Amino acid sequence: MSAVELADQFESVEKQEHAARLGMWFFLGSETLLFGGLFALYASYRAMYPFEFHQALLHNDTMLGTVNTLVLITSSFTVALAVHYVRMDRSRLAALLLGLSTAFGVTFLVIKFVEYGDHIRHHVLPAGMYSMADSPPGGVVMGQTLYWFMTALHALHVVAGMILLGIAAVGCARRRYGRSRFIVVENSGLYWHLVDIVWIFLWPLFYLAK
Amino acid sequence: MIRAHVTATNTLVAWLALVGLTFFSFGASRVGLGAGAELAVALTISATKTIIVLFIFMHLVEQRFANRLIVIVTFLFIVLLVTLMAADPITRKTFPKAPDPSSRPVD
Amino acid sequence: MSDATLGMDADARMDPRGAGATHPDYMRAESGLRSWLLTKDHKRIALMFYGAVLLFLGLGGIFALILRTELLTPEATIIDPATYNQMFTLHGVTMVWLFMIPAIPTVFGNFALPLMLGAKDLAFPRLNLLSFYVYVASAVIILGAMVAGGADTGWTFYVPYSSTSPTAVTWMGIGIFVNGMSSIMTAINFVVSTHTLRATGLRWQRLPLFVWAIYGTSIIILFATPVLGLSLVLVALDHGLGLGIFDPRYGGDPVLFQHLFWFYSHPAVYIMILPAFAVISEVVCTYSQRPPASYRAIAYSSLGIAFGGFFTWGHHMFVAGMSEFDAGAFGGLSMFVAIFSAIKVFTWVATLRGGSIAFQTPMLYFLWFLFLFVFGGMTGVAVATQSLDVHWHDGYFVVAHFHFIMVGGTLTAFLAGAHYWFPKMFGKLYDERVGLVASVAVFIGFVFTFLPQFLLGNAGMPRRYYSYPPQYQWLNVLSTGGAWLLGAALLLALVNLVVALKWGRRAGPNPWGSRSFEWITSSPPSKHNFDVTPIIERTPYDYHLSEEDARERSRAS
Repeated sequence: MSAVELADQFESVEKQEHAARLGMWFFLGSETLLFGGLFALYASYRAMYPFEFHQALLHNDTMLGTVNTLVLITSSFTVALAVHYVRMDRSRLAALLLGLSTAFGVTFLVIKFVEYGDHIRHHVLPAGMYSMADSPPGGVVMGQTLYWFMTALHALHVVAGMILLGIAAVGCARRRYGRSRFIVVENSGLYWHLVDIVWIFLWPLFYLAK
Repeated sequence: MIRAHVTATNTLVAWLALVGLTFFSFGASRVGLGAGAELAVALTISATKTIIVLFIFMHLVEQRFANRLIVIVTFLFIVLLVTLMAADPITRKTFPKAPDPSSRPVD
Repeated sequence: MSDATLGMDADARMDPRGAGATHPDYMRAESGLRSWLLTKDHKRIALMFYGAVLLFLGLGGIFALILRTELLTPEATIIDPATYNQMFTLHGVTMVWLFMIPAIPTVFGNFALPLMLGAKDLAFPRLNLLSFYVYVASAVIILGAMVAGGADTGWTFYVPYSSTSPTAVTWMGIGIFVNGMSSIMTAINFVVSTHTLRATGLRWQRLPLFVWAIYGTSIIILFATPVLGLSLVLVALDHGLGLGIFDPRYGGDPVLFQHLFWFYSHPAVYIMILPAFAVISEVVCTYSQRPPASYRAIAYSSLGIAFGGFFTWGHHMFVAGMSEFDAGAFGGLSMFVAIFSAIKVFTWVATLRGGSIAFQTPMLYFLWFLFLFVFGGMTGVAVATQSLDVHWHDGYFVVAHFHFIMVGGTLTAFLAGAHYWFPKMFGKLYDERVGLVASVAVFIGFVFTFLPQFLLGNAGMPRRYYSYPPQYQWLNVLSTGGAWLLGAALLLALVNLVVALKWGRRAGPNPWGSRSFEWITSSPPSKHNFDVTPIIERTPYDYHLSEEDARERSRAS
């Protein structure tokens, strides 16, 4: 495993790693605001159409949503373990765990696409896909549109996260990352945890209506 | 400088807690508290889970205050956006009220 | 000089040409296109941005001149109404995202920030280069969209018109989204650099005020830009794929788009003005040879503006159909943000007192800034007053207000910075007389362009209108005449600097006698800025120290 190269502008490797970590946290804060705007839209439309919005939520399969929540939480767990082990220089184990996390990501996406297929079959679509004639009441449509967009945006982030985890996994397998060089693995993990956190909020908002 | 240290056991316990909270959340939604209370409970549980993920999985417990400040500031900005934006439709007096279903003539 | 260095051994003797003078300067260190296009040197990246933003300032200016010329007569003059709508939209989009937001941070921020920190580069040099290419990509997309149908929605892209306009709104939205990504990359670089790359002895309280303001700007960029990205993605999807999230036919609410858009765009105006404040703080202290009247007032008010600016966005929506409660909340909150700007203005003026003031070109620009920004700022408080805004909204009063801030404030400060840092960036001195003349012409041109617009707005002329009643004509003619003069003056200022690049007198390391840290290096700096990280034992405004003592306490070799 190669040691970290100290870049010219940094005083020490410690400073350099702190900078990379700090930069990642700032980036995560920024990414969170992307979803923040959508949460604001959700709150606004749900406040506007309390009854009808709720109707839209009933279209979602609570079981599948809950399974997906457990899948993501567990994948977060395996990622956290991977970071733990790479810090202990057990890079091969870390690579395995990262691979497992990616597989969980795939599982999540498969379940998601099953849900989407279901929705399409039941004609539960974003607003623009309806004509004026066959459109459900306004509040219902807005709830559905938000569901589609917010979960799709989240799924996009799951894919991005999987790519990062994949890069980290390959690096660990090749023993490029280890005790004295793991910031890439850590930062990829941070991104994945954010993806998990966003879903932790999306789940009750879209799936726990009775 | 890392003072606290997240061990593999910490991580495992955190995962179990998250799974437990997920089931708790699911159960709470089945009890029938009414839409407002349900949402409040659900979001509180989500916030708790988030703190566990942040501090244990993301190692925030080990890190400098600067990193925690980013999380706090992010959260506050989202609260600001959601609150003042949702307050608009909630407090509009001219927004047409939903028609009363019972007022529609049955044919 | 030699007397002062007696007793010091030869190794510690400081080069009078500035730190790094023994090396070739950054422009000559490597040659060839690849060494520029693949550079990681923040100074070269700054120059590449410099060229790009000036190009777009020119393009945005051309759009402005076209629309101002159209407004010479009450009816058709040179273009048709559809083209007119495109002109003001493209003028706004180009100026806001391709000039105003990037300019001072990516040019002077990139160049001077690492120098001010005593660092050899930013924290993430490759991210810096990437931010340039992402910016260029965004410009290509936006320009492509302009050619492929443009946009006629105004730079604010309000739904429902933007969802249905028969123009290239989708691609405009995508281009601006990409532009936002570039912005965020720059912001991350700046904040992390400020946290982790400060030289030995450079505590936060010893940072140049420029750094504080750029830091505040970066915070705003980080937290506001994603919401803009979201709002434009939603519009792009609405327009391109018919998503319908704001479509009233399906229960959507167009006002919610405005909430999301202005949550970014109000803080965005602070992204545009805070860097101007950054430049002004440096210029005021240097050309009066005084420390700031209160360092903390200026430093902390930068953070105050950064955070306070997020609480006020609804004052753009007073007549949009927002609730009275929200309107009241936003109106009240808006009153507070101006306090921080006022604190700065008073502090700058107090700084001048007892100073040894030199009227070089940057200082003259500061004078214009003072007058124009205060005027603009006060009219800002006025339009943020609900009862008044009902009359002024969507009229020329608002247009005049924000141009006073953005042109009278930011562009003026940009010009001040361009002249102030010219010797540092290029190692040459520009012609002071031409600089002063151009500066006066800019001011006169500006006043003729925008002062009449306050009167027009107050008299009831709406903005974005192609035609107007004849009684408004004389004010429009004045404004257009001023616009052409302003354009010519800006060109003169540019030519003066470009000529000086080749034929200017050589500049020493510190021609203005500033105590700020970027002046420690040679002019221009070497590729790595400093051989050794400097040891800072003074503030950047220690004008009570002689230049030699000041150099001693910021040793970099």
